[in-house]
Amino acid sequence: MPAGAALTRRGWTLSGAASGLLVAGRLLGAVELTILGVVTLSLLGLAWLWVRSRKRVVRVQRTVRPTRVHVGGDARVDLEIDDPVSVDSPQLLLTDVFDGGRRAARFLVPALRRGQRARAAYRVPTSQRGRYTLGPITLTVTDPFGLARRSWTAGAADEITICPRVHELRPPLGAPGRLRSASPFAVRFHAPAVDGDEFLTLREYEVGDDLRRIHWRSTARTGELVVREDEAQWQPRAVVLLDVRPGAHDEASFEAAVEAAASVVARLVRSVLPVEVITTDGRTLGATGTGRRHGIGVEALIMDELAVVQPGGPDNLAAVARPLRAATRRGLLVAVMGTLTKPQLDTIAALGSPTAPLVLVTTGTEAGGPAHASAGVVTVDGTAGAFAAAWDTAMLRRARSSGRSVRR
Amino acid sequence: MGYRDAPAGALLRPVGATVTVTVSRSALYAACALAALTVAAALGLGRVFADGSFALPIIGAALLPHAVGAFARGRRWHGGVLTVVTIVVVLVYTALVIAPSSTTYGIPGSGTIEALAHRLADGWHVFRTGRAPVPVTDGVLLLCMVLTASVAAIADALAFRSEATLAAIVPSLLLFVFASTLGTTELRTVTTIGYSLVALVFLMLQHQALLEGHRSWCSGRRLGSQATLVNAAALVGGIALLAGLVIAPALPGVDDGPLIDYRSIGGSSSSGPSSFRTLSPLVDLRARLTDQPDVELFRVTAPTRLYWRIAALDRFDGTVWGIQSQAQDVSTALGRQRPPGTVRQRFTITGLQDRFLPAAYEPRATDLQDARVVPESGTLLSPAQSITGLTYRIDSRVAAPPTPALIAATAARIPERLRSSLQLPDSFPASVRARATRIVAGTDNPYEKAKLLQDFFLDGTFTYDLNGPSGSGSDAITDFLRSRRGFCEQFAGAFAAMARSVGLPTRVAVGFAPGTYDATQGEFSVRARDAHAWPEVWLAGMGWTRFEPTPAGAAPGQADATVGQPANANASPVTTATTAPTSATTLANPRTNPVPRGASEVQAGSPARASGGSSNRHWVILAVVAVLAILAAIGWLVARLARKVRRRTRRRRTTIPAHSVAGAWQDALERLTDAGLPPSETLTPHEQALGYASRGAPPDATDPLEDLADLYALAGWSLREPTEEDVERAWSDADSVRAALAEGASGRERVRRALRL
Repeated sequence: MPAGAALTRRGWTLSGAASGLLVAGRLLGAVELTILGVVTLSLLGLAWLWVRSRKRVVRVQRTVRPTRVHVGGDARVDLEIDDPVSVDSPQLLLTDVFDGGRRAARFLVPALRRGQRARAAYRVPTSQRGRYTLGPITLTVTDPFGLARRSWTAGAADEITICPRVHELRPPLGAPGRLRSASPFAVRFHAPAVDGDEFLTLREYEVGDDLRRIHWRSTARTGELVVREDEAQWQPRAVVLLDVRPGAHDEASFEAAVEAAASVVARLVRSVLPVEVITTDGRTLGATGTGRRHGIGVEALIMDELAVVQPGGPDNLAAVARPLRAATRRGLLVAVMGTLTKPQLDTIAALGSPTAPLVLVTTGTEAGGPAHASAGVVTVDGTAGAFAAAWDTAMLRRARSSGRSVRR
Repeated sequence: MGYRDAPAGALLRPVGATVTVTVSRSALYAACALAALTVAAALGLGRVFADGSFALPIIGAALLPHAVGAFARGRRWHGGVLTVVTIVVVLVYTALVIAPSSTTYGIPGSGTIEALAHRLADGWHVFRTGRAPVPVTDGVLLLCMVLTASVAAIADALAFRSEATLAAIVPSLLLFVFASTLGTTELRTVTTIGYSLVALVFLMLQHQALLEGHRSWCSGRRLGSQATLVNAAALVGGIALLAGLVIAPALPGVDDGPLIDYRSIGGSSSSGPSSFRTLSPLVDLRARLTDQPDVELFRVTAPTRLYWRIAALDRFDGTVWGIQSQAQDVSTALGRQRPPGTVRQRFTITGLQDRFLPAAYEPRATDLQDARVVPESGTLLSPAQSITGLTYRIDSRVAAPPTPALIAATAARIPERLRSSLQLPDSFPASVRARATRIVAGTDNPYEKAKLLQDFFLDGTFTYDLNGPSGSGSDAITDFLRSRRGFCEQFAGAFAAMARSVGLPTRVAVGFAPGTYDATQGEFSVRARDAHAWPEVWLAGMGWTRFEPTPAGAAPGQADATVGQPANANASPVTTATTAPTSATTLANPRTNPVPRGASEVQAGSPARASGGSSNRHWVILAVVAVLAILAAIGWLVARLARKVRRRTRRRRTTIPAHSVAGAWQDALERLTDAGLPPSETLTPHEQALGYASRGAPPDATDPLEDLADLYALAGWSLREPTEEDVERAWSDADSVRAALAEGASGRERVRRALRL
């Protein structure tokens, strides 16, 4: 935005009209037209001067609440404008832009006296996941007739992360916490007992580590936070594989896949199952450690990654799949896949076994189509709208067929 | 415009904004200001009218369409419904003001439209022929009411339906300039400054209303002082007005007169007593008789009781009697020395405000220096706007009573130059013609014919009534013959038209009855109540001869039975004869001339120029329209240019390719917004582009728009910077969108877009 005062479109039009009035007044000898022309020209000049002489005084503060929100959730931006200096600030036009100017919130800030405060609030659209910038705010002052204006920016830019939508799911096979409450706080209070495991080593603290595991003596000695690492007893572990191959998705199916992956992660975290999210291009989007680095903090980090993940990267499905065999044996593998060719489907299906089945969530074009007829694969339709119900149905059926022995 | 200058993009939903109440209130203020602007422009018509009685009806006509418009906005009426309702409301209003008697309990009937149409025709006639200041007659008033109401309705629609702020000022500006071009030069600075003041108030309130309509207030709206805005406006606007007041008159050449002499474009020169027009004196005859009838207009010293004539109307167009004659300089047409056998009169004008100089027919000599005269009708004209205070002498030859020999000789052939005095419009009712033919059946002598016609009106079945309908057109004659009630205008007009229909060259003379004789001063005092009209018939051997179809009596405008007698014969002239007042003997006298006021379409220019002069008013209108068209064109060009410059800078200034692509996207969205397709609130660029296809964007625009949307999305989201080709493509897409929109737009749509300033 230019900082100087400039005429608006109306101002430019009026300047043309004023010249016309003056010329016509002279040609026709009509004093009326000459007077109108002079008034108009003076008005333009004065309006420009008036706008130019306004000082940029007001202060704007933006508060985004929350800064992390799921798709479809409520996020609100509060603006607070005050005038710390001048006696009277002029009426201002305030424009706060979202996502680099693709959307804007526009307000009228009334004339403020020193110390007075005006407030405004607006909702951020949360229909699309991503990390978005808010601001900077543009303040514009115009003369009372809308002929000249001057704009400047105020306040810093903020960020808001819109995470994928999370569906309420039944717990997956073999995951603990089946009967637990759905409250996210449940996680904290039902964390697995960690005492009594065999002490293995010390390592540096990482975000998500249980504070109770901090080894204070070593921390005091090294000056860094150090936690105890125990030799875990056998503990189930879940891996979510997200298909990010560009060829496997269209826009809708990719969004559905990310949503499905996010829902599964949220469910697993609530079930206190360590979970790791990897993508088909070999990246790890995040992991909630094995029982210790657990909790909302890490889940949030994974969600942040899922908020911005986009299709791309090399298509080395086979290379990524190979080490996952081990993972399945140790716990649960959920593969959220787009369109698969037959060999690819076989590669993935081979990861499952009747005892440690693979949950295959497909969002591709053949979603809901012929399921892989293998006892080691539970197929779930991952297309938008169908996923949550399909997941629950699949989990219920699986539990009925194999769970007679499991049931207490 | 402030509220459009933010980056293109949808509005975000404000939380808990207090929008509705404040918006409607500021819009109400703006609507009131626009109504005031129309009223201000309409009051400028005061420079056209002779008195202030026009103001109330005109103000009503200015306010009504605004009121209807505001009501319609509240009800969200369709534009077509609003138009119809506005027309109906204005029609009822004008009917109630102008022709209340034609309505049934205020509801206009079939007669109303007819009555209004006639008045409108009268008004148009006055408009074409009159010269400011014109008296406030029904016709002119109606014309101005219709004009004002149209201005109000158009301005209201532009301001609040199209949100075209500047364009909304144009209709009232047109009215204002129109009034100042036609009007006198009185108070021009004051009225202009007054009009500008109201225009500024409207500009400010409308700007504020639009801002509030497009934005939400912060919650602290009540915190700041509202006065801040008003103070700023008062400061900026006040100094601007002062500048106009002080600088404009001081500009070089402002008093030099027009460089283009538009007033003379029609033919007559602007210097000297050029051709001019004034109201047909018949039109305001009744107003003169009923409004302030006792005001003295002039005094005459004369030995005989004569009609003091001011004009003879020799042209009948079916609606109104008028003059179209050429005037000569008084020194060439009349002598200075008193010819033998003439009657000397000495006039002192006291209250008469007109160009017409009263004189008894037929003037032969005068001491007037620079007056002009229409020789064949003896109409005298002053070069000055008003003759009040003038003193002059007239010597008139007054015809003697006809002898039987003279009467017999009237059967001679009618000279060719009098053919125009026989003309009747084609639309002249056949029934009236037939009636006249029946009345004069049995004689071939022109004098006898005229006599029979006169007797027809004086047979006692006609009643003199000042309160009947006005007018002397064909329809008025038909009505008059049916109702047999009317005043001198109808009697004279009906007689003249019927006489023409039976082959008698006839004209209507307008003037004054002799008045009240003041024996001590030896003067006649002539008051407004003495105004009168009578027919004159040309008879071979006798010339123009006065007849008197109006019954004599004491009421204003009735005939005077004592005309032709010595001045001191009777101080109260009207009391003598009541019925059959004008005997054939007195009639034969009548080269006496009454003195009504105002004649129409008299042209006092040189004969060569006179015939072209009647188109002058059209040239004035054309000039006004042309000026405003030029103004609008210049404004439009500047806006276009500013926009082009902005577009160019947007394309060139940025060195970051992504910003350039974003600029192209923004540009395309602006074009679409201008075309009435604002971007929708919740869509991504791609969805936006797809959405436009279903929202009525031209098909040629959607493909480039989709491509542009993809480029824009890539530029914003992808890690890869857009290449130069991408930028080029984006801008060519934006250009294609613009071209497609321009191509797909109808002419009306383009005008609408151009007006959104």
